[in-house]
This record gives sequence, C-alpha cells and structure tokens, in this order.
Amino acid sequence: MRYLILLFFLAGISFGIAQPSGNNQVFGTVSYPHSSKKIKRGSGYNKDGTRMMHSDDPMAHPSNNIIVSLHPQSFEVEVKPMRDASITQKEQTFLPKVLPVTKGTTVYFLNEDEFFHNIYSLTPGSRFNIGRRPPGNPYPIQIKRTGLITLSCDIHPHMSGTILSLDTPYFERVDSEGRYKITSLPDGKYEMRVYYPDEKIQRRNIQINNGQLLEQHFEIKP
Amino acid sequence: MKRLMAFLFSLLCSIAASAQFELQWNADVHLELTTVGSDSDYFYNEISRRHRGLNFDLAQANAMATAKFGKNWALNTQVQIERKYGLRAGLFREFDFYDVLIPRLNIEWTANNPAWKILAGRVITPFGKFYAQQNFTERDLLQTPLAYSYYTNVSETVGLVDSLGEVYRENRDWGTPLLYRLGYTNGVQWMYQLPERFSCSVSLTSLPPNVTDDQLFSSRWAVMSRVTYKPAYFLDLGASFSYSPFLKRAEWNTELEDLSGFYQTLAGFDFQLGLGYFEWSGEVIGAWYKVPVFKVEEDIYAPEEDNPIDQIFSIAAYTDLKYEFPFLPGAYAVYRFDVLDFNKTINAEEEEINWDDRVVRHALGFGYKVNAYWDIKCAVATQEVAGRDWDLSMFRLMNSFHW
Repeated sequence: MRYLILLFFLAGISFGIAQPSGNNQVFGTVSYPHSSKKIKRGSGYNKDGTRMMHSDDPMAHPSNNIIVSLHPQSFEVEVKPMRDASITQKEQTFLPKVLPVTKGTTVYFLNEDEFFHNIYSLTPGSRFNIGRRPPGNPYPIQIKRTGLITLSCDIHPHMSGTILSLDTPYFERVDSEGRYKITSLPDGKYEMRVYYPDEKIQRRNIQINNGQLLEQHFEIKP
Repeated sequence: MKRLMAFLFSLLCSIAASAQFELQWNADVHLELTTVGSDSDYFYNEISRRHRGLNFDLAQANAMATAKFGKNWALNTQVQIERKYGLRAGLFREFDFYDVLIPRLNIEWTANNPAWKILAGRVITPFGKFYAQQNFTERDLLQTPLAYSYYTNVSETVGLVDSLGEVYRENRDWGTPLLYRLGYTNGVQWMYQLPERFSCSVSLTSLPPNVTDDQLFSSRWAVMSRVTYKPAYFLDLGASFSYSPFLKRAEWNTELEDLSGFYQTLAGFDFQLGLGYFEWSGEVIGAWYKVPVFKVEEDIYAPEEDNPIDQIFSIAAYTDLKYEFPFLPGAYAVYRFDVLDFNKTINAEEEEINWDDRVVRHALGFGYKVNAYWDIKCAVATQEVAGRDWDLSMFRLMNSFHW
C-alpha cells in the first residue's frame, strides 16, 4: 500500500513537470473589417457562367474564423493531439473555414453535400489528396506539421479552407462579438498570435504571473 | 456629350467606390518545351512542324477580371495571347506569331433568384464539354480534342473541297474544325442553373461555332443550347445542340447566289464518371453539313443536281481516363483516345470516298501541381491519318504559372 501511495505521488510530480498549471487569464477583443476586400484574387472558376454555391453558415464567414493562440516562450508544454476534430464540406464550402488543431491531431473530412468533393493540400510537409469522396463517409488525415495548411477541392476550385496546426494547447476561436478569453495559463512569457483568414498573422509578446488577468485588444487591418 | 461622358464617369466612380463593388482578377502564363514530328501542323495537331528539335517558348498567357456591381450585375473580361500557326514574325522567333484575343467581354445579369442568368457580349461558346477549357490551366492534357482542333475539308468560304489543306494551303484557307478550339463567340446567353443537379442554356450568337472570325454582327448567326444533368453523385451527363449557316461571302464564291442554305448542325453528348482517384469522361460530337461541292480541277462548283450527297456528316469522339496518384499528392496520369471520322461522298472523279481522312490519336499525359501557383504538365501523342504517311507525333512539357 505504501508503494502504491508513493507511486501515485511520483506520478503526480511528473505530471506537474510535464504539464504546468496556472490560473492566469488573457482576454480581450479582436476587431475586424466588416466588408470584404474590394480587389482580390478570384478563383477563375466560373468564367463560363457556372453558378457556384456558397454556404450561409456562420462558420463560413471570416469573422467566425479568427483564432487567438498563446505560445509559451519561457517553458515547455506538452501538446497532445485533439480528439473529434472535423471539417465538413457543405454547399461547396468548408465548414469551419479555419480549423485550429494541435500537431498530431487526426482531422476527419466529411462530405455533407449530395455530390462528390475532393480535398487536397499542396502545403509543404503536409501534402495529401483524399481523392473523390462520396457523401457521408468521414475520411481521416493526421496533421503532422505545425502552421497553416491550405485545403482545396479539385472539383470546385472556388472552395478554400485552412487547418491551423498549433504547437500549443492554449488557443481559442474568437466569438461572434469579437471576444476571446483563454484561462488556466501558467506563469511565464508567451507570444500571442491572432490569425484572420487570408491575412498576415499578428504577433505580440506578453508576460503573465500570479493569477493575472491580462487584457489584450487586436485590430485586423486588411 | 461632354456632360453625358462626365455623368457616366462619375456614375462608374460612385459604383466602384460603393460597398457593393468588388474586382476579382487572375492571370496565367504558360511556357512550353516542345518537339514534334516532321509533318506536324497547326491545323492538324496544333503545333507547327517548325518546332522540330527542342523549342522553348510562350504558348499562352491570360489576364482575367470580373467586376461585380452589387448582387445582380457583373462585367467579365479576359485578354489572351495565343501562339498561332507561324506565318508571321513572332515574339521569340520569326516563324511564330501571337494573336491577342479577347475571349470574354460580357455583361452578366443574375436574377434575384440566382438560378437565372443572362450573359451578353463576347462569351465562351456554349457547346460541348471542352468549351470551358480554353486555358491550359484547365486542361489535364495539353492538346485539345480533334473535334476542336483538326481542320477538315469544309471551308467557310469555299465549301467542300477534296484535300483542301493541300490545294489551298497558301492562298485560301485550311478548312474548319467541327468546333473552333479557342471557343469564343459574340451573342446573348440565357442560363438556368441548379448547381450540381441541372442546367440549361440557350444562346444566340453572331457566328457559327466552327469559325475563327470575331465579327460582332454577321448573317451567319447560330443558335446553341446545352443541358447538363447529374443523375447520381458520381455521374455528370451533358447534351449540346447547334445550328448555323456557316458559309461566308468571298470573291471566289460569287457563283453561289444564296449562302444561307448551307449550314452546319452539331449535336453532342458528354459524360463524366468519377470514383476515388479515378475519373472517366468523354464526348461524342456529330456534325452535319449542307455544303456546296467545289471541283478544283475545273475551278467551278458542282451543280446541285450532280451532287446527290450534299449532306455530309462527321463524327468525333474522345474518352479520357485519369488517375490521381494517392502516394504523390498533386500528381496524375491521363490517357486519351481520340477519333474523327467522315462519311462517304462522290469526288470529282465520280468515286465514292470519305470526304476527309479518318484520324486517330492516342495521347498520354502527366501532371503535377507543385504548389498553388505552379503546375507542370507533360504530354506525348501519336496521330494517324488514314492513307497518309505523316509523322504527327508530339511531345510537350509545359510550366504553367497562375495567380
């Protein structure tokens, strides 16, 4: 029994070393442009007048696909693969438009349209092509690198989506009001990153200690 | 007048400045390394025989833009530089020449119910499956199918002439393909589309689909229509139809009083079947002509009573089998079998012969998407023309850059 107690004690210590805990909090807002760019690269797809579908789902809109992440600079953190990460193709649209995951996560791709979709990525280090996939069958792909992984559909070239693969467990999707709150952060130095679809990632260095509540605001300028 | 121009200019500026305005642009450049057989020709396999040996040059470049004005209106434009058949001085060598074309310049109106749409102006010829693949970016194989690129013995100024390409090589013309491969025309196009289920379009254009002219108005109007239907998620079907008088007035056809009685009728069927990493597609096009028959030796048109077979027919068919390599993302291989055949008619010697030579082409291509802006494509093809000992083989390696 003594050995068992000792074993639990040691396991607790080792867990504490690998996964630092804390009670700091970073919160704030991200403001973003309310109209899309007036001049932009097109898909070149519907030059013959082909009608394209666009989903009205809120998760298709860039404002619901802003990701705030905190990357520890002063300590190591264990990053575990996530579970239940998925991207849906519906009305010729990737939903969500941006999926944040941790490195090593298996992402399931699901076609919810009544016709074929394909998904491929030409991102170096994460090139894949799942071929033509019929409706209904989820197809898994493990994400083995960090960074932005661009998704396309060979059949519908106007479709584009992004997997944001992160080396940190501290991230959150900004809500529809532009607010975010990341809690349970250990003491230390971090690099804050804000990703908005098709824009450069904004970066800022911060330090938090002793249960601090730190307010940080960002503005996306296209 | 100045006031009107100023008003229009200020109106355009205010529309452009409004929140409803959006400009989408794209551009692409296609650079090609080629080597071809000794009998290659622009009119037979799209590349001049002067490209024997290894040649590197510009094959095509495009600039495209769509300006959207609110929910209902858009202006579509495309400017294209295309290598032609080598009769004038060109950019990189003296025997190529480059045409500057405007394949698209049209106004698009979309109804509040977005299923309905009207295009007016210079539009892409709305016939067949291949018509939207003018740009190399959209082609799995670099060659266009024979129906769109092989010039037959039917001329738009002479009519039916035996061995037309050899007879009038220098001074008249080379005939016409079933459909002009660059595929653009002027007209009005009405469309009804339920995406991925059903579409229907009817167009009235100022030119028939087999000619290369770009007249805004002509007496050679054409009516074209296309219907597509997807009966299952893995299958796309399409059918097209076109009717048009196609003969145009020239100094050597004044013998013919009324040209409107000579016409081309096209009917096409196409399909695409996909599963996993495979795709199988194809198209069959039938072309019926009523044409005057010209006797070269006598330099006159044959009287109509001497030409019981004035209805001539041609059929073109191709099928593509494509496989994407799952172990090499971005890479694919594609094979095409392409055939063009002609019915029999009576020649000047009163012999019953096919009105042009049957053509068979085998083509094999590979492609690789390096990244979102750069594709590499490679194609080899052999082409046999019945009764001719022509070397029409070709090798093409293309780097496509697109933004």
